Amino acid sequence: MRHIPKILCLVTLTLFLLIILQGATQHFEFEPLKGVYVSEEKPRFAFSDFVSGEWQGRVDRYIKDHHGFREPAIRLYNEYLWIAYRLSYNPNSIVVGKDDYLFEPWFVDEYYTGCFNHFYPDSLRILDNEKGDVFFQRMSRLAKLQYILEEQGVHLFLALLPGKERIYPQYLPAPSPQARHERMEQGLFSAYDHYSGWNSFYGFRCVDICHCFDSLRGHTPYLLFTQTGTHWSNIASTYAFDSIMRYMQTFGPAIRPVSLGNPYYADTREPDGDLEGLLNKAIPIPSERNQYVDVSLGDSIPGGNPSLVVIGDSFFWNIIVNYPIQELFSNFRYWYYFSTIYYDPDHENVADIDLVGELLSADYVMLSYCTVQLYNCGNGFINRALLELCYDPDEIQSVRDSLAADTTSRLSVDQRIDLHLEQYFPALAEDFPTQRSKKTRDTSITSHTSNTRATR
Amino acid sequence: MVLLVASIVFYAWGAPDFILILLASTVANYYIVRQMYRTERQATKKLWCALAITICLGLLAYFKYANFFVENVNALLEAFGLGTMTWTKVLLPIGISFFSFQSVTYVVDVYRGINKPMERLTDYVVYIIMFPQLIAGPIVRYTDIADQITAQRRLRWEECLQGFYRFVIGLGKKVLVADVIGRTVDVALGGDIASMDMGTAWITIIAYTMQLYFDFSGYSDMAIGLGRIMGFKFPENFDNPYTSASISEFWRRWHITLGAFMRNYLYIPLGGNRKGRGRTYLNLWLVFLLSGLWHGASWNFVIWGAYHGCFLVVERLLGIDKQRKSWRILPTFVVLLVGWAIFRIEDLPTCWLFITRLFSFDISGFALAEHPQYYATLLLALAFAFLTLFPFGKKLERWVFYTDYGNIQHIAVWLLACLLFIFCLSSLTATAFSPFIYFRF
Repeated sequence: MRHIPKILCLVTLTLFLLIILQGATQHFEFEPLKGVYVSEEKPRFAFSDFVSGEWQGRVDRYIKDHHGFREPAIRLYNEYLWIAYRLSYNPNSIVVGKDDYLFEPWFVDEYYTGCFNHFYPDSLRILDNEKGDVFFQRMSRLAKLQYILEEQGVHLFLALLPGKERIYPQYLPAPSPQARHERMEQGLFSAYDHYSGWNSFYGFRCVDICHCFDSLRGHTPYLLFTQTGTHWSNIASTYAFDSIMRYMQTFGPAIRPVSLGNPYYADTREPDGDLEGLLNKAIPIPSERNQYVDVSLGDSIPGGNPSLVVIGDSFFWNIIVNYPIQELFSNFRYWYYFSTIYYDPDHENVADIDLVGELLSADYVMLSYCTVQLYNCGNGFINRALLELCYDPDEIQSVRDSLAADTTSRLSVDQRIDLHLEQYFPALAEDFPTQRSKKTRDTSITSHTSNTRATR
Repeated sequence: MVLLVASIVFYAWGAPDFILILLASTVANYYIVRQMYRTERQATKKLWCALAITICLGLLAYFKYANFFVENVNALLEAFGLGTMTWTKVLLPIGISFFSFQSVTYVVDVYRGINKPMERLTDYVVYIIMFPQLIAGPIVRYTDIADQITAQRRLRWEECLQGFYRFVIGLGKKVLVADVIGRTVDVALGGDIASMDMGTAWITIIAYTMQLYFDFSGYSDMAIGLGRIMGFKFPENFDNPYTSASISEFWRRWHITLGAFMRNYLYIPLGGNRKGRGRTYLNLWLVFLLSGLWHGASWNFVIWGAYHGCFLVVERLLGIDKQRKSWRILPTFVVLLVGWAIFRIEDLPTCWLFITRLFSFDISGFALAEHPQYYATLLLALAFAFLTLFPFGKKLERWVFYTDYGNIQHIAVWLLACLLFIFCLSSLTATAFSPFIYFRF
């Protein structure tokens, strides 16, 4: 046993060699880390870079990013942070709440401080006392757009979807949930507070799923949000869309009936755990079992299905996953954040579409936003639709050109139009603007318009 | 030869544009010192010695203090309305403060006849630029290592293993303690100091005190460990400095090799305590003023050195340094904390503002619940820093560092060291790189 130090030294040396060899050969394969990460590319040697020390810096970063045990090393450290402190390695992206509930930080901010300002680019940052004005301006525009579209038989409405913070405030990290009431007593309101509180005053249609779910909070045996995901659960989204469809039929054409089965547990279906994935831990968080509901289609309706355009955030994906949307709606279009287009074989981006034509061929236009994304409701859709419905393209371009020629402003043309739309386009300042676009709704596609319609 | 090449590559990796300067000055010194040694006449010997020291300290003065000097001259000129000098800023070669001092020890030890000069140029270059301690010490006196460099080294497994343990301890101190604390300290000191409450200010400076200690002593441990693996015994650089009961004792425990250098190559040549009480106090104060300036070309370091010098003089006057009393540990620590505030915050008005916040008695806004990792690590650091105040701590330290392990102990400690190393590697991979604080000196 005199050789123990020698053996230990040699084993140590072997371990070091193993690390180097693994780095060179990547012999052992590890599950890739989740999330976006830009790793250093293999640096090319240049003498000038060597002298300046830049090459060495890049080699150091390259080794750090590509050493053979990077993935397990990061998972080990993240696991340590989790076990010892219940910390997320990246608190700017994931916050750990009570009972291991995970949140994106903007949901927490929204609940406690209503700080939707967080999302504004610096150039558009507005003062606390101006926030309200911006939202009132937007709600007014939404009402005007609804009015114009309604004249053409197109039914626009807003669905306020709950964020995790609304349904499970008890799991939010400190401060206590009461802080939200304190905030509201101080007159600080979030985007959701504005849209839910003022929709009747402005007269735009709004279905508040947050309000529906508020009554379920603490009373339902169903898991409405998964512990480790950011989106609502399958069962929550299924019940929510059932309510939305019932709401739609109070003012628009009939929708093919559906029936919901009994809730059941299914371990085979993977629940939403996107936040846990981003934690890149070594050991999964034991989480609750998720319930699901099957949706069955009823009889077809005479005259065909109504058409639907949805403009919204990622919460609508859960509805698409759970509902046979394309069998309930003809010409279903999903304008994701009013940018990428899904379910349209001809177009990929909203920049390429004839917006007025698309809108006038729809029966329903749904703005679908969760509490945290409401700060930018429509993502530019409302302004663009109003402009294209009420102004000729040449007139719009002329204003844009004159704004572009003014280089004194630090804001972009779109940002200036957003802030002062009614100033640059006076027709939109009227309470009931007139559609000037020559396009009209093709009545042949609206065989079912005999259904009840709500008016402003 | 392997060590020489490795050291050159190591330095060139971090500072390729300075490697030639380092090598040229080292070679020049080697030949000057040989010439000095051969010279019989004392006056000529002195001249050679002065030339060698001028090269060592001249490089240090130019690279480290030229910018500072010009900045201050320009400020003066501007104050008198005389315009300013144009000056291209000089970059600081890493480790220059350390290898310059090592060169001085070589020159002076040979001049004093304590050692003969190195026979081989390569041995001397190895002594100056040996990579483990090149950047941030310990400052190894020539007399302490001369025999080790020239002796035939044999691979000793026991020593290698002990060196590995020491290296991993140092790495752990740096990566798992200093860096974790440092991240929050940087945020706190980079924020709005004017509105900082007293609790946060104290915790921040205590945290910085721990960060600095674990960072610097971590580096020293790594250097000593690597040296041991390669068959060298470098001197210890730290001995539980925060358990000191006086500032004089602190300087016998903190950066021990710098203290020894200052004593042997500055305080004693200045006359030490042999020229009367007044001169002794002046010498003491001067040594610490220069020691402060050695740390960095900035007024805060000068003030920090003078601040410590003042306390040393006061302790000498009151005789505090002669008898250790445990109750003095806390006031000494508080004096050190204020000193580290001066050391850390370069901008003097900001530094003063921070010190006023330490005594502001404003306790609003103190939030202990945030940053659990920071507070847990800080508590751990404090526990280790003061561990040897207790008998079991002393026992533990003796066992870890000064015991010859049996086989079972070796296996257990090796396993712990491997786990610690894996954890350090994991932390290094998952977090941003943070350089050693003393690299900049």
